[in-house]
Amino acid sequence: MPDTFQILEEQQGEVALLRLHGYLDAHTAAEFESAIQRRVDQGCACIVVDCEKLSYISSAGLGVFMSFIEELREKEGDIRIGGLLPKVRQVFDILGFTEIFQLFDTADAAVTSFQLKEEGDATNV
Amino acid sequence: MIQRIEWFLIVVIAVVSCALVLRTAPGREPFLASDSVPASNSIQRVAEQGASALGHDVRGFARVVRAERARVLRLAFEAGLVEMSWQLRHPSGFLVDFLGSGREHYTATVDLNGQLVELRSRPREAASGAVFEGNPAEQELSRSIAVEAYAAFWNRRLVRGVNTDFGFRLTADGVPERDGYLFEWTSQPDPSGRLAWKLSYLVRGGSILQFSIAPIALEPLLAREREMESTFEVLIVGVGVIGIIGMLYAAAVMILSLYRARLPWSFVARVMILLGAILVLDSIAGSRYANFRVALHSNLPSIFSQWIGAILVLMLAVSVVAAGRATRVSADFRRWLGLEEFLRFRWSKASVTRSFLAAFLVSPLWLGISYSILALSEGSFAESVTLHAVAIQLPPMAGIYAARSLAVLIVVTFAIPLVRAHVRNRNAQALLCVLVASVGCVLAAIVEFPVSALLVESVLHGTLLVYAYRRFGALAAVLGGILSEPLARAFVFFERGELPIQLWGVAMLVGGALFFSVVLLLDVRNPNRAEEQRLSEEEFEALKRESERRLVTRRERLLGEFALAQQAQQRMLPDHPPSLPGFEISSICVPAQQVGGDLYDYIKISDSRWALCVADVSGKGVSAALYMTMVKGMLTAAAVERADLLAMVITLNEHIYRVIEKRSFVTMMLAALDPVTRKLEVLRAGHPPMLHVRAEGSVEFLASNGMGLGLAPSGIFCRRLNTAQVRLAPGDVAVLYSDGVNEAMNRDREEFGEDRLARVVSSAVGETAESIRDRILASILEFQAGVPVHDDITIMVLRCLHVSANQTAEV
Repeated sequence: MPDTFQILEEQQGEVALLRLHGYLDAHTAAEFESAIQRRVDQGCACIVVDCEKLSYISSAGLGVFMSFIEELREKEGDIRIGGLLPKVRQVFDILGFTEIFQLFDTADAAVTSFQLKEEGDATNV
Repeated sequence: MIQRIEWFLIVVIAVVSCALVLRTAPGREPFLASDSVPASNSIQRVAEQGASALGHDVRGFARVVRAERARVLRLAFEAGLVEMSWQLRHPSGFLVDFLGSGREHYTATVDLNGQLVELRSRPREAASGAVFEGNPAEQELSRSIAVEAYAAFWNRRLVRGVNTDFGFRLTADGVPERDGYLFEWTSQPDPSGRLAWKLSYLVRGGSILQFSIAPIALEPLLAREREMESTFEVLIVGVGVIGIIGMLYAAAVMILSLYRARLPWSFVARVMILLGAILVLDSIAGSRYANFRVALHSNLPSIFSQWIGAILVLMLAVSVVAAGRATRVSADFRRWLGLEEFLRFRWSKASVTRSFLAAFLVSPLWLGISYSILALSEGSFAESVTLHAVAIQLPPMAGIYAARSLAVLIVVTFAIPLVRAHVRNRNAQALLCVLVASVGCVLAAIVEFPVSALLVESVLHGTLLVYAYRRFGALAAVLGGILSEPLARAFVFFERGELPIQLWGVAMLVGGALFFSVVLLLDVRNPNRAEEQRLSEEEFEALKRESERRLVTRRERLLGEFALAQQAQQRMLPDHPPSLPGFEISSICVPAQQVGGDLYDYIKISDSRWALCVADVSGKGVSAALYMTMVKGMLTAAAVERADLLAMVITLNEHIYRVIEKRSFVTMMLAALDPVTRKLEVLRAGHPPMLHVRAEGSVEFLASNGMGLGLAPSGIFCRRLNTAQVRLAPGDVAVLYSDGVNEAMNRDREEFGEDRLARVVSSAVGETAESIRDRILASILEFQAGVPVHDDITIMVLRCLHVSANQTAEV
């Protein structure tokens, strides 16, 4: 299989960056979910998912985003998504995920958006 | 709402409890503080001598008095107050007669206003280290001090106020606090609990003027105490304290449950249950202590109060258990006041957990009942006094005394399953319990320490209780508890003169054995039980083989069940499309697994319009299938309620959002068709768009704005929701489909895609709806040949016929 699912994890300051590769479907969703769960358990509330290398997403994969978003936003965090391929972007669009999630052209932009907010908070204090 | 009621209850109960405690608790004084026994001439004489012996030095008086106790007593002896026969005659008329009979026993006969009460004392512990010197009289005197010390040791704190622990109050520089008669030292009650020694002296201007020693009878003091602090006041304070603690616990539970999401919940729940258990055990010990004090008087109010105390504790236990159960069942602590959880207990069914809980539940009741019976039996109160005095006397002992309930719990949770796992035969189990208890009793007798007796008692009782519960239910356990303890106590009482406290365990065993014989007798009479016991080894093997065989067939059965589920789900889809003049409809749903999450339906939403629906529940398999049935029901209900597509979908979203798990959602395509006007109103909720192929071959994907159902609350859901309209012309074809169609993949992981779909439909645009449907399906299956079907496929084809609208088209 050319496109086995893979997650590369990075921590950029307060932000956990998960880079997805390959196919996110019912079989691989569990792996993705446990990756996010781990981060959440570690107390990380700001998560960026880099989908630049994500070639397919199924409804089960989309469900993973949904299962954390509420909890993270309660903690004043978020899941932000960067670098969607057009085909995957279309799935997001069709389902209306664009109403719920902030999408960015690149993962870096998504990470920066978190950092800007933090700086904003810091200056407010 | 329920939460508010619970908070209200908590606050009200806590306030009432505080009020009870505050109203009743203050204003008490140690009753000896104002008490004075007029010193007789002879005592005054002794006192004067004692005072002169002490040289009027009040500094460091405490130390001197302690050191001089023996001397003072000897002075009393020399003054004729204490005679060789150890007879003390108090000026008030009480006669105390000590008879020394070697080093093992002392018998004291107290003449309380003509009623002779014989008391026994065992000074061994106190006297063993004592060296008796001097003439016989002095030796006896030393022994008397030993006896007294022993009694003090034994009965300390028995009567509140008497115990000053030799500690009279001094100012910082060692001077007694105030002038006048001060009762600097009061001996502890003797073993009867009715007599104490009092050493008193008069201090004025920092000098000791008078000095006296006298035996005092506690009986009138007890009566006095009863006046000051009625049975019911004691009870009320007890209720108040239990109420305050209980409500604090409740409030903690409520608050914690609010932050459930942020807490490691299973751990917190365990801790709270443990805390609750400790609370209950502590209350049991507390109520026992209170009841014990009240039980000094075997009158009706005190018996009554024992009952009430026990019931209170029981209620608390019930709340805690209900909390545990509610947490376990619904993972929701907020329902902890919901006693319905408790009422749902199936009392007859035995499991380790339930046994544990039941033991918890019945023990306070059982204690209350047994103590009531005890209080009723004349004279038995001395036993409870002694036993309890032991517990109160030494902190570690008190701990162990409270730990008897804990021992019951431990036995229930660990020992019983262990025994059951290794010993099959039930009678052998019972025998083992008796054996263990017997060994414990022997050990207790060897060690000669009441601690072990208490432990044995606990273990035995716990075993009995659980055994009875497991076999016969809660009622039997309660009855067993009621029966066995008084039996044992009766035995002890009967043999009281001879039986040392170490043999309590033996006594409990006798009581238990009596109970056991009743149990076993009942057991044999129970025909089902007898049947079970007659089960031979062969029969057992046969049963075992049978269960193994069942296990093998289980997989087949499951597969069979799946087939049934598949049929059931297919039946949920409409049998045939509605007959709409000028249109034909054909649909199919092919689940990827036995059952799936796709759904199609036709719903009449008004006299003129029909809604065609294709929906897809996220995920696949059983969970999706279950949601699919739910969505079908909700859709039908929403359509009845609302004729308007937008309103219908908004209602549907609300319902689905409320019940569906976070990760799941439903996408849906709704097309409302008016067959007369041929208008099609399309609403897309996160679903792939509708394909519209015109008769002349042009292709359009019709998509309105709308997100999936169950993803977001109404506010967000409605934000960009709208519908699209299209008017179908004769020969036009509309295709509603699920993403299993366009996302179907071939071996090279290419998707079937919208374009292929459009081509297939265009090429077949003149054919019947059914034919178009089959072509689409066939081309998908061909496309993904050799690759396992990966998602449910649903296709609905709507075709506008060329015939006039008033002709009915049969499909």
